[in-house]
Amino acid sequence: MSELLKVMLVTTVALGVTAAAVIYGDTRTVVPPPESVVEQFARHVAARRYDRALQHIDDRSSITLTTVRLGGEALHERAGDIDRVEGEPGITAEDSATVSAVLTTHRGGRIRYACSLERRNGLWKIAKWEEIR
Amino acid sequence: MDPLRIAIRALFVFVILLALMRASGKRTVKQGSPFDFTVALILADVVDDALWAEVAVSQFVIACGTLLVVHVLMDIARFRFGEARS
Repeated sequence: MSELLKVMLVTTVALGVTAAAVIYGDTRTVVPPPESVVEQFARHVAARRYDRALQHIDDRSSITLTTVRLGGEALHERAGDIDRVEGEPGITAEDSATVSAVLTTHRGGRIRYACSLERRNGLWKIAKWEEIR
Repeated sequence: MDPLRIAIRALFVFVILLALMRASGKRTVKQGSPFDFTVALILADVVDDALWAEVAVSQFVIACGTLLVVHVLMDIARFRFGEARS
């Protein structure tokens, strides 16, 4: 039983430390940085896992599952298989960021996903998403 | 990705995992059972996501803490159930 209490105590302390880091302004270390969020989003779209891609979208934005799915299917139709996805650091302020991910495709060359992100409850979420060819 | 942040994240993940494993009472690999091996496999995958900033560290902590709480509860149940049987 003491092991159980110790595990719960360590978990609580660790959560407290990470919460303190976020409260004191960390935006890139204990939380995924904006370019990682956009890269993960682009990877899920590339893999046609649109429901997983949606978890990176801000609830308050106008982007829906349908929007993501239509965009993803149009991309695959036009550009074929996606060989590589890489996030690129951009401009990051306290609660907003503008970053992009570059998708290297089979037929369409390099396609850029330009995203605006907002911080919600300490996590970066995509508020706007634009495909640039 | 910033090498310094990777290093900080790796250190943080290492310390948390070590603290949780020691708190759970596991000391050596030799003491391991199939349950321990299963938990170890799952934790390895969870660590990978935290290391490369694919999930927030808080989510990593919750996942590891939950797994180890369940693991400790199973150990307690096995011990008590084994005692009741004998």
